[in-house]
This record gives sequence, C-alpha cells and structure tokens, in this order.
Amino acid sequence: MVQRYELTGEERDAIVRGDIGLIYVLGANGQLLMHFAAFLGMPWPGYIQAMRDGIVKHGPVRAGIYAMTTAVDDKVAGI
Amino acid sequence: MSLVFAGICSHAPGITGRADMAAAQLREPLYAAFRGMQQQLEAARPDALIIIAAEHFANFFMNNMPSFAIGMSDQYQGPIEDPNWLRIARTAVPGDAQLSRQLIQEIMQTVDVAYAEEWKFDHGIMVPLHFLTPRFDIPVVPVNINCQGPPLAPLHRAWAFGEAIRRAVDSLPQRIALVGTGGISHWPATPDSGRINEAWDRDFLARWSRNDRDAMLSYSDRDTYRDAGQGGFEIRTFISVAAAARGKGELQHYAPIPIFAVGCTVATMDIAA
Repeated sequence: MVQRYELTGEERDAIVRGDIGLIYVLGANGQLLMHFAAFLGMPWPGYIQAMRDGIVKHGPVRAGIYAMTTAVDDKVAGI
Repeated sequence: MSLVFAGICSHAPGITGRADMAAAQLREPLYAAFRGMQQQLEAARPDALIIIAAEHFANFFMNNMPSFAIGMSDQYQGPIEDPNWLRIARTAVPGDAQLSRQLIQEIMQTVDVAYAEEWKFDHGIMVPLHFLTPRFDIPVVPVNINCQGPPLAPLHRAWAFGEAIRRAVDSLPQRIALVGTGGISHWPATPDSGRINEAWDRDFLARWSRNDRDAMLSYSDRDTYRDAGQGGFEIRTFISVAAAARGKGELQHYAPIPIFAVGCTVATMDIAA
C-alpha cells in the first residue's frame, strides 16, 4: 500500500514498522497519527509516550507546522 | 422565528473515548453540565441545530481546505472514527437540505462558504451531539471552520461568519439553535497532549462572556499558538457563536481535565436583538 505514495525511504520504513515516534518527528499531524496508533492497537498512554520517545531518539520535529512545546520529561498528559 | 438558543462546548474525543481514564470527580460534573445544556437546548424547542465545529482532516483535507463549509444534506453519518475508539456508536444523523440551502444562500451575501452534500461527522460534532441530542432526533446543519491547517481565516472573518449566520437564521421561520464546539487552549494528539493553559482559557472565556468583540479579535495566531497551542485556533467557533448571539455568555462549567486534553467547557449565551 505504501508504494502508492511518494514517500522517502525513511518515511516508508517508519510507516511499515509502525514507528509512531519517528513518524511524528517527520512531521505527521497528531490528529491523523493518533488514529494510525489506534489502528496498530496502541493505547493512548503508549501513543503519547511513543511520540516523546521519538523526540528523544530522533530529535525535534523536522517538518510540518506544529512542534513539541514541553520538555520530554514533563508529565502533562494526565497518565 | 429566529435564533432560539446559543452555546459553546468542548468536543475532545477523550471526553467519551477515554472517559474511564478520568477521575469521576472531574468527569461527572462535566457530564452534568452537558446534561444541563441538553435540557436548555430542548426547552428552546429548536426545529434544527446549527453546530459549528472544527473538524480534523476527516472530510476536508490539505488538497481542498475551505475556510468555511456548511453541510447541505438530509442525512449525515458519524462518527467517521472507529466507534470503539470514540465510544460512540455509528449512526445516521438527520439533516435538512432545504434549510441548509436557504442558510447558505443568505450567508453567501457576505461570506463565501463551501458546501458539502456528503459529510461524515468526526468527534468535533459527534461528541457534542452525543450529549446534546442523544436521540439524534433534531435535524443538524453542520458547519466547519478550518482551525487545523494554516493559513486560517482571520478572527474577524469568523466574527463576520457568525454575523452572517445570524442574519440568515433571522430570515427564516424555523426555530434554530446554534452551538459552537472546540477547545480553548490545548495541544491535542501531540506529546504535549494534556497541557492546558487555564489562565489563558479563563481570560478568553471572560472576553467571550461579556461578548467583547474587540478583545476576542485581538489575538494573533502567533500568540495563540504560543499560549494556547494549535488547539487554541478553535476559538474561531466560539467567536462565531458570540457574533451570532450578540448577548452575554454564562459559563456553566470549566475544568481542565488533562486526560481529555482540554479545559472542558460548557457555556450558553443570551440571544440579543
């Protein structure tokens, strides 16, 4: 399915692996990404943590229009 | 007749989808406020409900993103999301294509709008309807303001849109209710999810409650993003309601609930001439 879209190798691999953290860093909008995470069976706390882990592992958001605004160890999600 | 009810409320998907993750002492007062709003809405005996929401790439995507869109169908469906995720069963929601057409024609006298004869509601509409019209027995006219993908309509255009809605409603014999849905400050579906700027929220709600047009329109998108996150852009729906109602607002409920990712809000506004 991913072959149908114009993606970089990094983007394609992240989608195939279900690497939510990297997909977020690459610039995916969370309003869409949260549904991909749910599709993968990831509960809400895991989804939030995966994005935070992605920032730690891959660095700040590289593209898109919204960047993370809290520190990686801030506990803001109520979980 | 004319506009018979005006209000605003939150629409965050966590309100239903993650209900069990919130402490009951936070969740239940919100639900009670929604029930109170439902009762006020029913007491107004509306023939139809215009619901102004800020949807999230479900029907309008970056390949074709209208600033303002209005549904024009006799029936809609929702939620478009997985019902198990949102915990709202998929259902048909009645519309009124003729009413929509009349509203759109009048609104277009001053504001250019897109229309949609097909629309699958996301949580921005389904969560409020779940509480406010739980039997889905009031025809709905869905309205969307792009609050997701900049460039966004300036706030003064959201105000003008609300004025146009009021003018259109007043030209019709039906009893029409109006509800705006959205967040105030929030960073939904991001690593910052749960961050809520309560002081910013309460200041905005004070401006909204006194229907202070100049104060509501004084925000820049840059400042809103800095202080209230991308979710803060949804103040456009609340501003449109204020422009349409023209009265003073009454805040029924406000409480930050991080697991719902928003300062949960329920408020109504008097209808002024």
